[in-house]
Amino acid sequence: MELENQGVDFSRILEEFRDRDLALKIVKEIKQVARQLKDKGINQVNIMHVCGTHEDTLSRWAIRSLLPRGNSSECTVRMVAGPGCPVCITPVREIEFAVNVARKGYSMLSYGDMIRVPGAYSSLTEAKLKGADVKTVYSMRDAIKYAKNNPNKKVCFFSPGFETTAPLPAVEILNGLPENMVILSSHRLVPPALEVLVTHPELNTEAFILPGHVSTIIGVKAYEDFFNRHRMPCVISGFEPTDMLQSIRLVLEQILKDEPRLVNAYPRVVRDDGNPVARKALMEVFDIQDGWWRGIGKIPNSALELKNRFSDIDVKRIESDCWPSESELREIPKGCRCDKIIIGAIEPTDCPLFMKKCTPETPVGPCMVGLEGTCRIQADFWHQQSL
Amino acid sequence: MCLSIPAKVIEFLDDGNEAKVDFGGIKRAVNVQLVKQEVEVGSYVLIHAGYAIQVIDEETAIETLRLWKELGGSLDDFF
Repeated sequence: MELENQGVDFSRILEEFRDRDLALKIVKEIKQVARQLKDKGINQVNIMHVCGTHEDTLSRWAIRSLLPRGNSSECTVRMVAGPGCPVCITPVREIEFAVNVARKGYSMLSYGDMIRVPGAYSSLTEAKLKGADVKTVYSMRDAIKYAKNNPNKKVCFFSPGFETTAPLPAVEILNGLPENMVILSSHRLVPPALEVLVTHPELNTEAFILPGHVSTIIGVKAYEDFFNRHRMPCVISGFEPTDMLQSIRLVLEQILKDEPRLVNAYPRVVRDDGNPVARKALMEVFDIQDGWWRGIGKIPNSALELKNRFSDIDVKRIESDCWPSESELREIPKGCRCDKIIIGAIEPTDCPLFMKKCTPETPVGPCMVGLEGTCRIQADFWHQQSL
Repeated sequence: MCLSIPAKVIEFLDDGNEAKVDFGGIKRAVNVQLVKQEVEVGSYVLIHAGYAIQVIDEETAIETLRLWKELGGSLDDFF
């Protein structure tokens, strides 16, 4: 296709990022660099991504099967899934709090997997089965509509997600929520988590593929401090198969040249300063505080909590008696290895429960529940990967 | 959770904070406040959970593909 042809519909051009020939061309280039790396004495390169949607691309398009698996002439390229699923890292304390708020009579609305994810004792699904008003929404817009259509109900929107998602409630809060609506903010920030991962004793990675849609909001500049401190190859990647393959190639090339860089390989939506309107909305609505991540622990300056001036819509303050009384709650069910999987220390297949006791139909741990959980995605494409 | 899908803006609704967009045949209303300064009818936008989070830069997309196809997209092309 002649790309410069103005008559071509742009959606056709976007489809080119799924082009088989282009993908195979990049795979060939990856293998070429893998041979050069082997010649340099490097036997394996581990690359971590921190985005569930990247894991989806890797699994959906069987990209791992296209990467060099290591032989006498080429080095192994291993893709590691880091903490990229906001539902999986939402602390059990906040889940149990949400369950208690729902039991107290609020209508609790959230995204589907947030409702299914188990806390320490319960989940919102269980609360619903016992009579609480719990509803799945696709968008916060649907939650607002529900609140407007049900003025006699107290409606709480349980809002998880990284920087991609946090501007959505921010913009609606600035617009003004319906009077009967409150927010449970469980938003987390990615760069502070990278900082913890990179110093984690069990981390096994030489490079990062950075999340394209988080970066759409925060911009390339948001990673500069991290990059300057650690000088590891960092590539911001999109989500089509050629986006990911090209990002992997760019990482390998940096390792070969021993020239780490912070590269934006998704410039069609990621700008240096991200989306300034969204960033401004975030800063107007939220304070940055220390935040707990399930399976990881406390990460400094990684949570977005509503500012004091929004305390009248902050359910964490309004219903403070709904917090679980125990100081410590079991984060990960017995036998489950999600704490290791969340940080990429082990693969789902290393967990004794994976696809035995723990399946998408009967999930045990959070990584099997969240639609972007590493276990869930690998389970969904299990058949394809075992071919 | 960060899944975002491209869609084409068909028309603005009400006060311009919302727009009808086309996801390859499926049309839905979305919020466009986060991209209001840049978005036009005919723009492709990235939709995340019912909200447009960025306008997709068409020229950059075409240039990226050209680089990857023709030059192999060496590291230096990204600077």
